[in-house]
Amino acid sequence: MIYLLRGTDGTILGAGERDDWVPVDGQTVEALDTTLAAYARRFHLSADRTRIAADGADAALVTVRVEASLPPAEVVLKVNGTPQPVVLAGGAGSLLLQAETPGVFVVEPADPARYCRAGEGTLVITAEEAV
Amino acid sequence: MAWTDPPARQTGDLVTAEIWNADVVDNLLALRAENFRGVYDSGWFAVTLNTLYQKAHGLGGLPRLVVLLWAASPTPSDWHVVTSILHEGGVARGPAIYPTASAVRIHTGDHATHGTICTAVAESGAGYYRVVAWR
Repeated sequence: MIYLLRGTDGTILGAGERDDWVPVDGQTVEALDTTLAAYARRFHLSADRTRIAADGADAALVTVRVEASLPPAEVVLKVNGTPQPVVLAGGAGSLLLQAETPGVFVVEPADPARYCRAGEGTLVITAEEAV
Repeated sequence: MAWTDPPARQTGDLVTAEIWNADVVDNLLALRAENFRGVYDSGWFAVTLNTLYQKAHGLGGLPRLVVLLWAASPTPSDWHVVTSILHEGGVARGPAIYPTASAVRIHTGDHATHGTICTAVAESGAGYYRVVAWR
């Protein structure tokens, strides 16, 4: 059993296997019959690299995996706040990130009430000045 | 009950129940009362940035020590002690850990890439926390 902590807007703020959350500021707790490791696989972001050169050519391949009894055909990610649909095949899809100027890409689910951005649901790719 | 230095005994001394209780039992009880009043371990839980987390510790009083750990997965092979987090504007601060007699409260930073940990070798705006508290 795990216990999800949700914010007032339904955003999933946390998840743990102990039933010891003390909700504050309108937070609510929801029980789910699974383990934390299995729950983390329901929405998981990874990348082949987390640092790229900001030269417009170097790239990081972000992989999103959605585990469900009936995986959706598409999931919408947010990249620095901009929605970015990703087509899924067998619950997995990918997104190529490139940059021409140094900075960071913050990748997270567009619907944080459905997919957990806590834990492994947020990914950061850093674009460094090309040398 | 407080610790009392037991006097040295010699071979052949008669160690009565009164002496045994004073030298050993009472001192063990004193050590336990002062040092082992309970420990809370939250286990790993997923966290995100800019959030107040409150966990009931069940220690029956204010903890004397709280340690906050961070890991990249819920079943980690290694972990980091959270000594610093980052706020927007680039202000590095120690993590906000402020327990009460019934719960441990932790507030993550609002920086997207360093809000949950910011050390020389670990940086994240998410991940997993584990709280260990001693009373």
